[in-house]
Amino acid sequence: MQNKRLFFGFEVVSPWPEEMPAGRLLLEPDRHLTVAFLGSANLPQLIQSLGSFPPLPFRIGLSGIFDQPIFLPHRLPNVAAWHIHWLEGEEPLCQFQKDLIAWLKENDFHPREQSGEFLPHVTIARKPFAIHEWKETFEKRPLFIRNLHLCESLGSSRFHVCWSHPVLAPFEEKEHTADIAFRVRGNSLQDLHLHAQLALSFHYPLLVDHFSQAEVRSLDEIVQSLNAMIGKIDQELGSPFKAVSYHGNIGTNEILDWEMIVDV
Amino acid sequence: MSELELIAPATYLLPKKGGMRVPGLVIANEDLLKEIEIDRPLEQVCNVAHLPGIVGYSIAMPDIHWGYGFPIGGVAAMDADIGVISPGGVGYDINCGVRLALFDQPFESIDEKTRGELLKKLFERIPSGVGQGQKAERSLSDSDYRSLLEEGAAWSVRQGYGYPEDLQHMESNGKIEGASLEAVSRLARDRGRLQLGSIGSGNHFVEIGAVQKIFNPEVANAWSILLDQTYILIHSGSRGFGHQICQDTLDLFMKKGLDKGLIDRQLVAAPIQSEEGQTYFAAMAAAANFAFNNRQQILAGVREAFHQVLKVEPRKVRLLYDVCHNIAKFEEHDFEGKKRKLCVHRKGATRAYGKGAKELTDLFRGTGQPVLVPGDMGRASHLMVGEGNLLTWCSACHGAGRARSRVKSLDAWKGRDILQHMKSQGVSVMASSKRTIAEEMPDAYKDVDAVVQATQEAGLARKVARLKPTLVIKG
Repeated sequence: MQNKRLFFGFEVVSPWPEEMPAGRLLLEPDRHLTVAFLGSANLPQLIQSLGSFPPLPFRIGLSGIFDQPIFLPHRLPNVAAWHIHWLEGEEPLCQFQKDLIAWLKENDFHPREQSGEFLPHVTIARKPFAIHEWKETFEKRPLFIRNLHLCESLGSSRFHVCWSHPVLAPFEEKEHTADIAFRVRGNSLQDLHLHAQLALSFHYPLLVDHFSQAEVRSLDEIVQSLNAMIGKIDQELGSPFKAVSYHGNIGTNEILDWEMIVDV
Repeated sequence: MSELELIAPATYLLPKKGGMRVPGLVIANEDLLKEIEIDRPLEQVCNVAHLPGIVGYSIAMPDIHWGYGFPIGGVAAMDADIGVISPGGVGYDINCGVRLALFDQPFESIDEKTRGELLKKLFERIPSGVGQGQKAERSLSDSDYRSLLEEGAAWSVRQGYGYPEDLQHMESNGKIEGASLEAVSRLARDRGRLQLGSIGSGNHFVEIGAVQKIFNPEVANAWSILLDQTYILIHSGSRGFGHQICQDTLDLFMKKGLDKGLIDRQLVAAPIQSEEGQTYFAAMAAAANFAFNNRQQILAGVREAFHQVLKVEPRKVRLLYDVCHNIAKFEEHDFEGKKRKLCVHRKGATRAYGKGAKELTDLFRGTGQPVLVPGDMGRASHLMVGEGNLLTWCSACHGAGRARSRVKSLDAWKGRDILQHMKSQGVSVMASSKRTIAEEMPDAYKDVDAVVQATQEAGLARKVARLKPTLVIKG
């Protein structure tokens, strides 16, 4: 009776489009990144084991871009999903996934193992759907993952969270009466630069094709790089942003954080 | 807020403290002060008061809110010889401004179907929203830029966008002297090249509606404003051209270390008489002239839409006035018994010259200048007349001012049919992005009636007419 259908997954945050092609759509809060699927497993036993849960190699959620629609399984697909390209590279998540699977096995659980490499994706809809419609309407979008959850699957794409491990968001939007403001986090200046671009792209997804990997050595250089990107995109496509302000300092309480204000 | 001392109707003094060179002055009434989030903007009023060469007061209008360095709704005048000029005191959208045009037919006489056609035609004709600025009819060459910056709005008139008499109905006749193309970077030129005649995004708009109420029949009569008359209000600025000029200047000023020793580096400023100060002024004037041309060409689009849909001569849509909201201008004012040349920064504020001001054209010298105060897209906008109040260097408010952040507004309206909601309020809206509409819903703004009331009580400008929007294009 204590066996449940369980999985570990990260919350996925993205500026989801308001309209999607036909299909049995997962609700926005239910869209997640599964990292281990246990099938039917003993929940109390698993909860008891969590004291030795493997450490996550990141405190700040990874960021990425949904770069293409995929349909799974490849033969006779019943799921329309979006594939993730990680901006920090694949290594951190792949490593964590391997550690998690190993830990589950050590604790006598039997996660379903994929053949081949881990395929990072988020299920968006279940069949029936028209593949060509999903392909034609797809547009790249930014995303990040945060908080890891152990979830009990309730069927019909719904689930219940049984346990959570906090993972910080790379940015959060803050209140600002006239402009827009974000609290941006990072482990390094380079990270702050990337996450600042990610934050902007949540307002303007077309930016994902224009991210800069310029080396930055100070907050001023981050601001200048962001403004160079805004200027360039305004010239090519238009921009909802006027500029990123020279504002604030970098806080260094364990991780770097910065209040970014964007004039709109 | 407790520091504020009421010294006159709707006028509060913020006494000098610390390194403030002048006191602050806040135009508001008690109700507005309760409503607005005042702490951060008031801190900015104090910070501005630290700037070298500031005279009189560091001033906040009733629509004040937190901005870049200076508050939005801020006015500061610097001595032209010893003072500084600050890009933060002008804002990114240099010469963001508003123009009001009138069409003598009562709005009620335009039937529902024709209104729909008019809105659609305006939306087709006038690029609005992100990515739509790249649809200008022609790309500006450097030679175009040179003429445009030299001539101001007269350049667009010469290109067939409007009529010579339009120029008499613009602040400074649609031209700020001293513009120079050499002061403008290549990137700024490239950003603006295809953006002339476009609204842009954010809070920019074109709205059409009816003159709903007349408060001042004498002035209304002088300006041929009639009850129920159709009005057109246009709000836009210097687009990417101006934004880049502001950014280039900030980058340069920071690089030169001009932020050192300032209470807030966003106030970074150069002495007006320095090379950096002169170059910024020349570039800012260039952006201001770009903005005058932008609004002139948007008006041409409006006229064309009226002509095509209502079959009226374009000239019948007559320009009443065009005002700058974000600008620094050299003006002469009486101060302590002497005429002083000042560089007046108005950021989110409108010049409000009164009756007799020599800078005004004949029509407006007899009344004072029109002060255009857009509200929100649901409730109202206002037409006022300047009182020439020297306490604020002849300045008044510029709009309702936001009361709610974009993110809050978006959350509040998420999942709701905003277009239908607006329709149920009698307003048809078209926009490139639903997100913009959600961010710009009327409840995101303060009540413009309260803002203009405080402005009137303080003696900065008087109400002339209330304008009720019905057709709106948003960015």
